Amino acid sequence: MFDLQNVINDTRIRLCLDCGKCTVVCPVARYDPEFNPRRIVQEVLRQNGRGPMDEKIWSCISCNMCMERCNYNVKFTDFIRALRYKALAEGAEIQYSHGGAPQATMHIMAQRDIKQNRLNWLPKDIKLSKQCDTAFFIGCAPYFDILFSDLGVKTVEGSKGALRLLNQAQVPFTLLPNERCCGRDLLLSGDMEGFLALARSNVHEFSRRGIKNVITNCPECYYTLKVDYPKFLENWDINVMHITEIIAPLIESGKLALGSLKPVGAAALAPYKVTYHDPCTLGRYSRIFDQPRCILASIEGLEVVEMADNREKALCCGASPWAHCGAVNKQIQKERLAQAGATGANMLVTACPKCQIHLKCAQKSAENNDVCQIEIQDICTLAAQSLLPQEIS
Amino acid sequence: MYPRVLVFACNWGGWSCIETATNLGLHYPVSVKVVKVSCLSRVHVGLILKAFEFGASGVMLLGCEQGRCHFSADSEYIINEYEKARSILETLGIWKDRLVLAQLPAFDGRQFVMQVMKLIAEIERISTSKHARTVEPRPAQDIKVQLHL
Amino acid sequence: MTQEELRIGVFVCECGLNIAGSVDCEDVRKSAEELPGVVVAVINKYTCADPGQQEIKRCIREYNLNRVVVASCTPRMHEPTFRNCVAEAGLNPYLFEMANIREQCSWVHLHDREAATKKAKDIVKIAVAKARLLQPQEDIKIPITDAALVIGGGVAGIQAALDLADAGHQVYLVEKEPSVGGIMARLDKTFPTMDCSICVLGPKMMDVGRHPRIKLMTYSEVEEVSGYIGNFKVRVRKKARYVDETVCNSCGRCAEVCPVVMPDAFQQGFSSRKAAYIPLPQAVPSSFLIDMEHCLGNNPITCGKCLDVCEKQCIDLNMQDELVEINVGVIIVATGMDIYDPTRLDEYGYTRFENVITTMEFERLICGGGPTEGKLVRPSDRQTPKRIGFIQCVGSRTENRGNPYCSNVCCMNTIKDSLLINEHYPDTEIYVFYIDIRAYGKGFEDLFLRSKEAGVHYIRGLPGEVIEYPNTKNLKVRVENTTTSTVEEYELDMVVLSVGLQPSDDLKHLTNIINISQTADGFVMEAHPKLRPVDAPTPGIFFAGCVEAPKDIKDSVTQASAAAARSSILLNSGTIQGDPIKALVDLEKCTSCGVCARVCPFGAIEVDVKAKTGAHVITAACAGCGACAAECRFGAITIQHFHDDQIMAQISAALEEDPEQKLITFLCNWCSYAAGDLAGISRVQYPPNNRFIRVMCSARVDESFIWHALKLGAPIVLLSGCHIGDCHYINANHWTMRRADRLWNRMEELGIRPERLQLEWISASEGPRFAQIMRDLEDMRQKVTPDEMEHTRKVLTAEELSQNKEC
Repeated sequence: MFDLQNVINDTRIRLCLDCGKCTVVCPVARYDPEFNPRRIVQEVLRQNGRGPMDEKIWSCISCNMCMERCNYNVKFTDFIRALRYKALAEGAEIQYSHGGAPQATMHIMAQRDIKQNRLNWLPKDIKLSKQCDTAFFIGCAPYFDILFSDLGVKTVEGSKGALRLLNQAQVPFTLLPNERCCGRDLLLSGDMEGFLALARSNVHEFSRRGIKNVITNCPECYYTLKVDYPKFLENWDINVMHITEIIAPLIESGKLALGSLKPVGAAALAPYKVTYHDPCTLGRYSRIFDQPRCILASIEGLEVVEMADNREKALCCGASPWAHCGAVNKQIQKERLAQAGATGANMLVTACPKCQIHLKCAQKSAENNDVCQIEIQDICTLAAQSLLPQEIS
Repeated sequence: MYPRVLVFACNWGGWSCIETATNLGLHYPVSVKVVKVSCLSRVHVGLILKAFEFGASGVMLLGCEQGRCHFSADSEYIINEYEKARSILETLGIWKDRLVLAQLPAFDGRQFVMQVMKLIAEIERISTSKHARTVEPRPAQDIKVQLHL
Repeated sequence: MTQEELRIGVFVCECGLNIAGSVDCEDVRKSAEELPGVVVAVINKYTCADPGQQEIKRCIREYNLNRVVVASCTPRMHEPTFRNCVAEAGLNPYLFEMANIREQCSWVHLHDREAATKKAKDIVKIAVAKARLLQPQEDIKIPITDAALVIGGGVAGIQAALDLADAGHQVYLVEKEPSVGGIMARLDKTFPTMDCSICVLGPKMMDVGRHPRIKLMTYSEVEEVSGYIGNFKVRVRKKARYVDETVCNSCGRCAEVCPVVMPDAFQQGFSSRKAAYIPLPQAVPSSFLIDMEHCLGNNPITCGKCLDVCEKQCIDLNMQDELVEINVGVIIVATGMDIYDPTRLDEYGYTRFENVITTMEFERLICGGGPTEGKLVRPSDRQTPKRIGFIQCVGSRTENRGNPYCSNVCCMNTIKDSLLINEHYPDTEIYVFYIDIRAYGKGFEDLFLRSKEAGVHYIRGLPGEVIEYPNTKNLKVRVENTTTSTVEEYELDMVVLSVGLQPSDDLKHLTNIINISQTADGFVMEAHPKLRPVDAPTPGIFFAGCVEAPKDIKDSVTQASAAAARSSILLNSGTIQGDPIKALVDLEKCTSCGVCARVCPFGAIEVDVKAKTGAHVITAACAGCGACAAECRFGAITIQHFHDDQIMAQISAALEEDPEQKLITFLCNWCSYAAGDLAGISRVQYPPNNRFIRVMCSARVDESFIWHALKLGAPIVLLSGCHIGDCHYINANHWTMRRADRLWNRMEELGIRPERLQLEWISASEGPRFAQIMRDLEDMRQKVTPDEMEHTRKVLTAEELSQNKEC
């Protein structure tokens, strides 16, 4: 049951000092002067939940930059999520992007008796441990690659890279052929029933297979399974880790060594520069900043350069939960890519499949080429590539 | 009880087949519903999947013959979407032949009915086999949601 | 005294109709007369009035009474009255006990005369049971050393020292910097008067330096403090200056020739000083010193240039730290605060952008005695800034990388700064970015109006980021103007961060040396935030200035004078008198285990665990809470006037008849008992089944009391004290909580329902809640079966027998 008073109490919005720091640092507000996080908070408090819901609540990209700066850690993204849920209950409609295909897929996936074929891409040389209680959670990578095939994204390569790393590190794991989407996109857009349906199917699957630990390479899945699932489900006590949390300590302690990616030709004289983009859910949400950098630093032949806005103040990739995506998102993506280009790096590396999709989408949609066309790659793919004798040109 | 089939029919070639079928008095089950679109290029993956989400057991994309599109739109677009949708269905574990693309000559009512019945037969065949699942309609508001933050 | 020698007099008060209206006083008097040891029982209409008191005195003489019990109102009202009364009749005032049959009986059972009378009889019986075991006590007198220690030489410390010295007391002022003056010496002007700060402070500093009764110890730190009120022993380390401060005439030649250059902390790092330096021109004592950490070396002497040029020959590079032992009666802690360091707020770019400075740095820039002699220039290019922005609340009012409280002075400080700029450079555009402007004091709003009239722009909104233009080093400030809901950008030449105040880093170290504690925000904890704001909970220690909370100079000075005045009360009296409710150790039983010393919130017990000489109670420091007595496993400590025997006797008396009808309640004097009185005053009714036993602190209640009560057939026992955090004895009620846990565990093991022991925290203002709890207890009592109580009796009797066998 949606109770506005509970939401107001839990998200602490009464403590809002009305200072406006959130508006200044919000990337959406920068490109859309009508979007004002502070005003949304104040208006809900003044109206006490009555009155028409501000249309603007759909513009938030949940990047948490506001919460990073807020004096009282007002949970603005949770608040927006609750308002969206309320709006839907009162008859608002989500403006789906991509024709609603991702959401329709997720809704179908949520059903209990479905038997997916989501592991067709699995290479033969990946070692699985059948009786293991640790599962690697793939997420929606197989579906994304189909839906966004014209962007040239191959998020499944990231999954493959992660699995190869785990094999190399001799960390045992199994795969779940019938895991579901974690549901984060539905949760963020206010579709609580859809989210819960997916979540419950996932819980069913995990308990059926006796899974106690989960590793994943998708930061959104990581955060959702680790933080949101315990909040909304009764019996979730699974230990969730991100792949970088496992690989980085092994590298630091010397138990795992990555290889090298040596550039050839004219580029051989200069080191291959890569810049790391902190995904919002891995960085600001989960405070994992150093582990991916440690992994990149240990690959020979790479020089890691930092963008202007990095770590806690990393600019979001302009994400949306496959809904209400528009010109503002594009401009944020353009700015982020420009920051990447300004570092002089040859490649932008990220640890999130959705960041890859959103940034590539921005690159592709640039008609007049004023969007930096830097190469975008996944960190696990890169790290796994370094294990094979490889050369990059 | 015949399985529910949704037909996306383009206003020109596709609809002509359906009208012809009606005029000729050819029967096909009432569980076959038709949604008219201006051109099959209007139909994207999302719409196809939504049809399955809302309870269709099968979907047919009925349009103009290849090269004969009323708007001269390349049918490359719908073929792309059709392939994408089949891939998604396959990954979801839904038998991909539940989705068919019928690019028929105009006014070919007989061909249309034949294709529809073939689709229905296929659906019935796979319903009884253990490989594919019937997709249940999305449950309505029957999950009580406690909003925890 | 044996039973036969006891001659107890009981005086039952009617209090007009207050008691007589709902209690049959004659019945109570008659039953009192029949109690063993009672030789006379009398009724008075108003016992506290003169006729009543005369009657008491007459009876004492006539009947040769050696114990007196007055059954009337709450002891919190008239215990001192009656104690004085019996003292005047020649009886020791601690041989007197009161029975509260008004607030806790007649007023709360207005409609059940029979039950109220029965309860009143019990209350008298309980009081008489204690009275039988009372011993004569003397108030303790502790001599006070007539000297004060003031730690901290800022304006608060200086003021306190001067006030005390002028009042005729010896003062030791210890300051860790080489000169007194503190933060105030580093300011340019003060609000709201716009006085020159060092000009008004300088004369006070001079006074402190030459006052005959103030011993000034600068460049010194307090190393160890022991003792108690009136008798503190303090060890101070005077760090070596390497210059004889009594001889140095501040000619400055040593500094001229010294080759070592360091940033000058007094000028906030904007200019430099030498290793041989004087902290500020107006330093008191007016003497140079040598910063040995950065001097080229004194062992062997590497440079020695200063030695060559000193005409007074007052440099001694072999000087050692000096340890000084002093005895004082009171300590005033005035150690001040630190300034918030905004480096970690990287969105503001402090230390990354040259032209972003703090308000302290601004003070030095605009001060005539500063590094630029008062010319306001900006750090990057020494140009005069034409557009200056102030960002408020930096490090304050935030849980995110800062302190949650408001730092009190920053708003006024910025207003003052804006007027200073306007005065010197009228063409400057000044912007103040704020959330609230707090101008609460006298003359403050006036200053704010002046600032607004001068054209300073006040923009409501806190900047989210500050960006530097790399070529000009100008700054772009992005802020949401919350009044217009638009994000605005300002290009400024200089940005001043209005940083907040925070507790000094040294404070933690100080709390280990002196028995003071910190509150959640890190500042020191006062005895009571409203009524005793300059006292520490530990007697004899006082606070002044920003060590207690952020405040401006006026409030610091006010507090300093207050601390001096309160210290004076102690120092003037020569001795202090304390009540005899103190811990008493039976050395025969003491095993020197050290538990009592650990448990005491006041550090009033010393135990040498190794030497096994027994626990020693520092009577002056003991507050009488009783935590030690209850925690002692060997029954070796008890509390005078609240003896174990006396309390056990009260419990026995309460449960002598019909124990299954009664609820035994232990109430702490300061909160729960007061709550009970308040319920009575408010006439809130509750069932008459409870029998109250008064203790000074809930921590006094020994486990054996509870077992005794349960064994004698009490269905329910309530243990009640102050709310956690509010305990009158700092934190003694934490021990109550732990004891309750232990009791519940044991009860479960013995098969006694743990719910039969209830623990409630009731504050003095919660009268209605007290009554509700009494009602709830009565409901619980009715559910306790006779079988249960019989089982309890059996189990506890067996338990006692087995324990006795072990002894």
